[in-house]
Amino acid sequence: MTSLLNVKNLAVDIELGKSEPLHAVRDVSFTVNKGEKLGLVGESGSGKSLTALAIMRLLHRPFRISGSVSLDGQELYSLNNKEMARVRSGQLGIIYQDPTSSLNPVFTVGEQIIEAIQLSEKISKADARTRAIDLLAEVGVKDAKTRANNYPHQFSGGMRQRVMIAMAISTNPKLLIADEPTTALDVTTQARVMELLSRIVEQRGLAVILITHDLGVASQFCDRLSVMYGGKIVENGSIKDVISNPLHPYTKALINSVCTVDLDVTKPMIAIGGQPPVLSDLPTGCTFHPRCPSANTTTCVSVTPSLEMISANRTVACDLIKTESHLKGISIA
Amino acid sequence: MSTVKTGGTDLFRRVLKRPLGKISFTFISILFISAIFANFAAPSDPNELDTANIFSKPSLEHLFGADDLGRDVLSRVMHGGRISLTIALFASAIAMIIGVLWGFLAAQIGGWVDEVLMRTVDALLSIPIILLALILVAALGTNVAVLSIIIGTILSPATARLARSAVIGELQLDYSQAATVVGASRLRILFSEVLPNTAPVLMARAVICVADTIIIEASLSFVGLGINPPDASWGSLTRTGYEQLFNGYWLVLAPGLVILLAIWSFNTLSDQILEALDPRSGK
Amino acid sequence: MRVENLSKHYDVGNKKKLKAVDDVSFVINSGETFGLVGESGSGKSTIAKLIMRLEDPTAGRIYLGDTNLLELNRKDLLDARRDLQMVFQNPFDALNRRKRVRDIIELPLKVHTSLNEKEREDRVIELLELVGLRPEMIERFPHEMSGGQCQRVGIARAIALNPKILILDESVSAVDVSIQAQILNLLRELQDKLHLTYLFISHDLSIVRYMSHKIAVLYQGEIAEFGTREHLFTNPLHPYTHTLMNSIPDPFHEKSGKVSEIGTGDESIDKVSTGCAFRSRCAIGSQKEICISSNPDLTASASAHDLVACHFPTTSSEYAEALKSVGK
Repeated sequence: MTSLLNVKNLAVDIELGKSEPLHAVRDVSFTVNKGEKLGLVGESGSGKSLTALAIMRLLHRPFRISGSVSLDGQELYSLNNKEMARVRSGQLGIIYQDPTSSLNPVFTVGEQIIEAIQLSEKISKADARTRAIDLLAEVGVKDAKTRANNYPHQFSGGMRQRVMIAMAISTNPKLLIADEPTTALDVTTQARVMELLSRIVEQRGLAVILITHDLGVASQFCDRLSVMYGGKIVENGSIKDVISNPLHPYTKALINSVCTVDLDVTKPMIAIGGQPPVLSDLPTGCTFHPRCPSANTTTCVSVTPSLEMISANRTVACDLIKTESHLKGISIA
Repeated sequence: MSTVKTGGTDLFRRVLKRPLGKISFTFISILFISAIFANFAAPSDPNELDTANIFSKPSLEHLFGADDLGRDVLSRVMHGGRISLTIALFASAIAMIIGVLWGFLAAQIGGWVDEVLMRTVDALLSIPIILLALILVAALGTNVAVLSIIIGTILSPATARLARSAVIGELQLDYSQAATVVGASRLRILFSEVLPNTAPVLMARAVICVADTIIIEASLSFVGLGINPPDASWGSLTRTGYEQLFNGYWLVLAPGLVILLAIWSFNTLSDQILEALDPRSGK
Repeated sequence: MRVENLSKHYDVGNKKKLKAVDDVSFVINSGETFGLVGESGSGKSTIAKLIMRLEDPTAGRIYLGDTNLLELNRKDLLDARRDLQMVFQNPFDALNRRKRVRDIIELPLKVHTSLNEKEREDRVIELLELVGLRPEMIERFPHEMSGGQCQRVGIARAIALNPKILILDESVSAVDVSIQAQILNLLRELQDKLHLTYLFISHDLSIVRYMSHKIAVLYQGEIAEFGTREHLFTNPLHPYTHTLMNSIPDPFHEKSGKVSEIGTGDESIDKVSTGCAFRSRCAIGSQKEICISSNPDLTASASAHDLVACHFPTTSSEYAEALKSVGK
């Protein structure tokens, strides 16, 4: 598997003038291979969306970014604005959560797709238009030729999201970044959109970073999962492994919080106590320790754990797990 | 998740942190202080004649020169500020009181009452302000009190419109519905729940009213329908200065500059209040 | 509470009507949780607004005890509000951003009781403790608290007067998953402690199941299926219920989150004006004459345990077969 995206020691700070900057994303490293679907899962304050924006270089003052992001061998932070714009239009595809605000209401859907295509390659308007209509048909818009002349408000939420997908893949990108693409949709619409996304990604061999707070959605779509908490990645692994055998206490707690149809109704849910971390008041040592059922008072409070490889393709940032696995002398996973 | 703090003193502090907020507030303070303490702060008595220095250029003795009777222009401008700013404050207060009641009533009652009240606003706003002011002044006369009332009334329709849309916006938010659900009366919701949230926007409007009043009063006095001698306002001083322009440019300079400064400062302060309300990152 | 033939129709020009809620009836018994589940356009939030008298229905009756809420004059309605409270969806928006927690929770006490300041404060602290917040939170502003904490304040406000019934309209949809679990536990705990009755409205079927004793599935303004938790989930009968259940992605089930409907997924094309509203998406109904012409009534199922509004109620395995046969 060749690596397509390589993120190394990415950090995003928010400058607040005189006071100490907020550390929204801290020392995040991961890779996405060609054709691989990575799920970036976390709750509010986890830094998952900022990570995606940092990868696309869409963050400006007061955000300060450090670290390296390389796409297909090319370091994105060493490009100038023009070169980066070209990368963004030609090699990256982006799908946002709210299709209503990401589509321009005064241009027709066709025009917007054509614009995206023409920004990234030299192609005649007529050819771009044909491609736009084909794309709309591919994402399931019936009567694509006529509908290309409709405005975004003439589509329902689910259809608008499909249009976004069409726009995102119109330039044949290598990497698709989907930030909570189905959070604002009904569950039946979500099923349709995710099915469409799966099909398109399969057909084109696209790599995807799916950002979501919904473990269910991630579990059905992704190959690998990275769990984020308080600006850091706390666990990495294949989707099957992480869900069936979560190692980090936060991952375990997150999985337990998911309300499923099989839940025992006679018992209370296994909830994590406390509140999600506040950037201006991050705990010392391990960010999760105030809410962790197994935190110990010495290491967890003072030492910030780093991601350690526990077994092949499985990393966890937890000193307790690390100690346990060293004691056992074997891998736990 | 961050929500903007909209507390009163907090807003004040945020406005003052911004560079333009600092500058405009400083100028306004200077204007008010020099007006209030004109008796002490002014270099000379505004009515003191200095016949030796008629039409004298700006000098150390008379920083902005002297007028046709040798009176110190700067002192006259500072005293003139008393009248101009008094009218400005009263008119603004009147505009706010009438406008807020008007707008709140329209927003709360709705229906045909809202229609009638708002169409009246539209009608009044379609008449040019200065024209309206001229007509009313011609009819009712000019002194500080009457001018304040006239200008305040003229500025109230725009205030009403603003107050109404602010209230309607707040009434659509969940917390207003929550107050209804809890059983609060409509009056209570309006004044106890909604009003505090509309206060910042209304405050910005009040500041603009002050600026607008200064312009209107200055314009009226300039055409001779506002404050007349022996009283001096910035507008009337500009008029006399203009009449005697050939005798010295400085006669118009001081009052004109002060009017410019005042209008700029109040408009900027209002802008800064509105911007400070807007949740921008890091601010 | 008894809701009878509740309807809300909107005029949308061109002589057309939007039937947001159409002839909905149900009964909520004291001490139980009644779940309303539906997606956008189902009418569930409209029903909440109608019951809370934030809007007026086009037809129907809403009884709280023996009183028809719709027949109350303004003064009596304000009184009745002691017994009928609501927790809103968005935790921050539901609180007045200019008021402290104390003022927010105190409001119902100020409006309906004659307690003095000290007594009100005691009651507010009592309520804070009931919802799991420290007494110091009493001086906080909404923006100084997290989403979960704000939602707890909203709940404290709602139970301040010991209401007879509490409407929970998507009360956990806008908080993080881990906080969701906390709030759901709190709600169940409060129900036991204070013997509360809930109308629990959500788009999330799993959560509705966890919380409710009886559940009604809404589709485009009408009840498609109704049953107790046990019966609805062991033997669902309405094709829409099957579609809904199959589309939920479950991290522990490999083949979940699937599309189990036909049709284009395009609302503007799938919307029908005659017969059963679901027929354009139904593996069975799209083929049948009767589904095209006649809108089915809510009737008792064969086993008499549930109510279904369908001409051809089917079990989940039968429906899966039907889906296969039309190529899904």
